[in-house]
Amino acid sequence: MIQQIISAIKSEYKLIFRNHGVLLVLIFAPLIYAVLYSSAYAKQVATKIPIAVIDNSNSHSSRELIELFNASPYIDVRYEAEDMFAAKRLLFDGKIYGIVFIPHQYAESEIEKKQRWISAYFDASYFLMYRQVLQGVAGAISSIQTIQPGVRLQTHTLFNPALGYGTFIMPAVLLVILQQTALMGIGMVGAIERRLRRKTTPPTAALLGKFIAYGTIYAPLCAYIFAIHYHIFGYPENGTLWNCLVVMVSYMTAVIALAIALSTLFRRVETPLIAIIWSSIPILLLSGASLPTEVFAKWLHTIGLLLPSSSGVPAYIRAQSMGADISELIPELVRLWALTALYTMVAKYKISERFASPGYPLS
Amino acid sequence: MISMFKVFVDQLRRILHDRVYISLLTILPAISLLFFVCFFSDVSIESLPIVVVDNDHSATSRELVEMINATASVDVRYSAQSVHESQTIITSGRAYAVVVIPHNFERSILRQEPCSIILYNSGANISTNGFIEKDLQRVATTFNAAISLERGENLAQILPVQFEQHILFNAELDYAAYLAPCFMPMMIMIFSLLGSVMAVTDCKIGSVRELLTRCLPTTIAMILFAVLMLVLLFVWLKIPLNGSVWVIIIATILLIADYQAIGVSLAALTKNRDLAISLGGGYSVLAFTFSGLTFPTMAMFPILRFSSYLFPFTYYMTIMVEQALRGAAIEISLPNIGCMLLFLLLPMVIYKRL
Repeated sequence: MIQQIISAIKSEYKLIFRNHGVLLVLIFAPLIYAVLYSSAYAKQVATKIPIAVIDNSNSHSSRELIELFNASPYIDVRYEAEDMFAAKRLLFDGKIYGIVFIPHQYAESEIEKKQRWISAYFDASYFLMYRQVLQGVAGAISSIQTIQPGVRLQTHTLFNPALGYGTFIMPAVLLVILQQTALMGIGMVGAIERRLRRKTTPPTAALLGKFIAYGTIYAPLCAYIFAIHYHIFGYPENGTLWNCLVVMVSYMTAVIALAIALSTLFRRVETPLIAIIWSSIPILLLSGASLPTEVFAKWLHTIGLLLPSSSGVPAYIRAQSMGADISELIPELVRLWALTALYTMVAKYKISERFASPGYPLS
Repeated sequence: MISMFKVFVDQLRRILHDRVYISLLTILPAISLLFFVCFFSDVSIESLPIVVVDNDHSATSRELVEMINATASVDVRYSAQSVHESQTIITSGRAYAVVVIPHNFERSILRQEPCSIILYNSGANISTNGFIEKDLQRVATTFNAAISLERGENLAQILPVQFEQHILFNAELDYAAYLAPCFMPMMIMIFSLLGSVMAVTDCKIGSVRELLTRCLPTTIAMILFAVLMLVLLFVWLKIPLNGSVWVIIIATILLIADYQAIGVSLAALTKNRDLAISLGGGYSVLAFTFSGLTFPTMAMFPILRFSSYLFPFTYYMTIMVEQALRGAAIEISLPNIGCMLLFLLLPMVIYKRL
């Protein structure tokens, strides 16, 4: 039995390492994507977003306000427009993302000890820009306060203090990339194996051999991505090694199980690529990492639970970004192991079927 | 002409005999578009669960909690006795924020002493963070205004400068209007590329005309899906269409053509169907990041910002945002249409060199 498992592992390695297409998808793609995406989001926040100010007051007070805007890290008064027409032109040309209009009675209001009103126009076609321009303008204005309000809202941003975009999305993206490339790469191996119609080892040994083979490939790959790559790009590392390992092992086992099960269906090498590549964004959305699960249809989320990523992504984010404990991750972990059991049974069944069918000589 | 007709029929035959090929021109695009319609049909950032730690237990604190609960984004689903207790609710994924009301809240207000409400807002999800912050801030401001009114205070002292906020182009901050016009065309784009790779690999291509004819079924299928997509976007999902639908239609057709051009070029360069599919698929999925929709290209390192220009999808998204959301004049989108046209030259360049 042990011999059979070892020979299964060896033949799996051969299939993987002798085929450049498989190597590309299984090992190089996750690494390349990890670097590309992380590098794109490396700056994490947008700073000094250009806005335009229409200063109809042209007074000491208004200049003071413009100074405050410029002092904000979020915005930069790149243009002082003559009027709304000119400002709107800049907006539509994509040169600015916000317009602040200071009316001519701005300084007079200050002298008369009345509230000074300005108008702010925010471009909400790009949400990140909108949020940061709003923060810049609101922040500058609130710094003019002379007296403390009765009730002050003191905000502490947990887990991602700078609200960095990379920190927000990359943990989920990395996990989904691993799942998708596993489904595609292992799927390709399945198709090649089917085409070769080689002598197969008994189902249990074959299955175990595959699990171990892919386990040995993903262990260093995941270790690199979630320990080294993570660290290089400064993503939050608030979880204990043990908790993160438990989640990672649970997740990748379920992913490999699903991949092996699916791989039994493919007859041609291009099929897994075509069948799976388009689903990456839907799967990322279903994981609840970009838009929370409360926000979209529950039935869609429930169907998505058939995928390891829908449980693995939230579990890992809570473990690593929030420092959650295993006891707080039980539902997700249970789901992952249930999926592993389910897909392993399917894989076992499909492999046994092929093993028993004519045309496959027994060793 | 007749020979091209024969080639076309032959290509149709190739497609119909190939389950995978048929799927990528029919079922898969349909499923992908359907997914996004289902996902974005009812997307609204509402009733996000939060925890309240009310250390005051007074009429005033209860009033504050009422106000918080009344906001659209937030739902006070849990109450906890301490911050420590509330922490596990967050890390279990059951809530997104904790609001702590200090124990001398009512007393401070009656004594006209300043006090703070603390908001621990999870930054793990930027979207939820923004909405919760916005609504809590509004509650605090409204509460303060009410207190000031009661005390007869001069608002100008507390809030010397106020701004009137106008949110342009996506006034309700609708995520469907923000993301659907991006994700749905991406699906058309991916299948255009895959379809063209399938068309020109594993067969002999004699001339440019033959190449175009073999790609034609993919083009037709994708244009049909594009029409469906536009109807789903602007009629079913009611995404705003403030500008020119014709510019969007032309841009979408160019998107299909561009990605077929890229598919054909990849096939010529690699001379290997599987490799072309891998590379093409990989390149397509990257298009989202480099379009700059969610994270602006101006915040990327120069070399990456430059590479965003190497994706036709980047120009397409700019046109989409300009025409659908912003209602910009047609002239503004013309340069981007021009750039999209340039990509059609790519196969010519590749074939010249081979």
